[in-house]
Amino acid sequence: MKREEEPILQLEGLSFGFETAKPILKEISFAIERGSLSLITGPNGSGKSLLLKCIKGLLKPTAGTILLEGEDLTHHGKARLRSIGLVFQDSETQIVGQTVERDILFGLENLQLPLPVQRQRLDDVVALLDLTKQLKQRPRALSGGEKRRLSIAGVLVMEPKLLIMDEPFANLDYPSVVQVLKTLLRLRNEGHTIILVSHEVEKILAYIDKVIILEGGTVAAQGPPSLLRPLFKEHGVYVPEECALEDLTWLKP
Amino acid sequence: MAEALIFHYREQRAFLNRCNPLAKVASVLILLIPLARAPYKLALILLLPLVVLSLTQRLPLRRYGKELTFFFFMAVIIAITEYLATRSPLGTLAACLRFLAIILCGMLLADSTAPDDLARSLGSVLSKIPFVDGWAIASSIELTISMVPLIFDVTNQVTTARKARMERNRHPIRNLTSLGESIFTLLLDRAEELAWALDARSFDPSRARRALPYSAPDFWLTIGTVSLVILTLPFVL
Repeated sequence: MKREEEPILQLEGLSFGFETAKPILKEISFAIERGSLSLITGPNGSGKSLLLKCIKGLLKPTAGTILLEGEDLTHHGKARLRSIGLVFQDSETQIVGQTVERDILFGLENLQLPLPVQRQRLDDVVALLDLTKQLKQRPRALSGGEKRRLSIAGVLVMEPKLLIMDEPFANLDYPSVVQVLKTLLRLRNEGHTIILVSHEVEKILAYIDKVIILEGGTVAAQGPPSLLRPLFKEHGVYVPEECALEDLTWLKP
Repeated sequence: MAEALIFHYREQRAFLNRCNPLAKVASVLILLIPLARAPYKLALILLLPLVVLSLTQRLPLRRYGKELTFFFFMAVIIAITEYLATRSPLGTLAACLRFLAIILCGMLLADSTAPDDLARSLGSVLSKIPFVDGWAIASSIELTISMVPLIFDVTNQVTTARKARMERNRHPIRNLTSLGESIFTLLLDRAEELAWALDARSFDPSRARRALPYSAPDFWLTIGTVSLVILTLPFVL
């Protein structure tokens, strides 16, 4: 299989628990295609955020394998830290720089890239995420939507192979959700592979290529939204029943 | 929720912002030599340039609000204990002025110095010491400084939440213990999240960073501080 054709991420039998005898994530297996927009959903406490931290390399799985572009990186947490970008649920957690510009540059400095490359990447990501006007501002003075865009920029500028976003719509008002949705679609159209973790399915489902439903720390179902939609309710995920699939988004034309 | 701004860095083109962090730290340390034993007149003289710098820096003192009342409370405690110990009104005044000058130094340093810049400057010096991981020490200092506004934020968050739920005034020690426990728990959570965020962005505390250059403002700041200290030393010795 050519590299472009194989899934960018494959999880095989991944398990995790703070105590080995009591796994929280159990035997999780799924594959994510290159350039796709996937959604991991499930009720509260189903293990979504823990799964993300395992994939990213912040937590060490107790069993199973993680393949990135076909390469087994299960025991290479640092390689996963570099290759996979994670946007945290709480943007403020992720923002460490004293200005927007410094925060975006933080990851690039850690990668020890030459200065001209850093400036070029900064300019590109700032233009892509529409943060030019905010460049010299203090991150804490930004609106919720701007902070979310900044946290995406801080990760995206490191050019990860895979971008994971934990609850990207949490605590955002309508205009901010629309801003984030537009950003996500722009990124997907540019060829980025994105995994979203959210239970706010009605805001984005129309644009999702693959859904993975987690329940009780295991994969309860996975597949395209059109096939999985009837199963959402029985697995504790709310979706308005009367809407057509293409209307399940807050990004109205 | 209103954000506690005290001890936060503000990006601006003020004189102190253009100085190298090392020059600022050195100036503070030099200033502390006469300040440590300064009588009230000398403390006033040493305080004067700090007040001028606060004006040029446009310190947003009004916005510091509750945090300043904490330092006011500390000043009152210092005044009471100093007066009880010495029975000297002028000595008490001098102690308060010295405390004010030290707090002002801290505010000016924090307001004009990004923790990252401080780490760059300190690390570039400390890394020259053999058998010492200077960059790691500088990174630890950077993270510690970054935690200071976080402590104010968390304290503000916890006290507001308690007020909103109409916390009763119980025994003061029980109140303090319970408040301290809540603040400490929340701080630990925030610290863990910060650690994850740093890991997620490939942060390496031992990584060598680009040192910051020195410029004309560093010269003027150092010369000004040294001259002031030399002129005032005879009053202390």
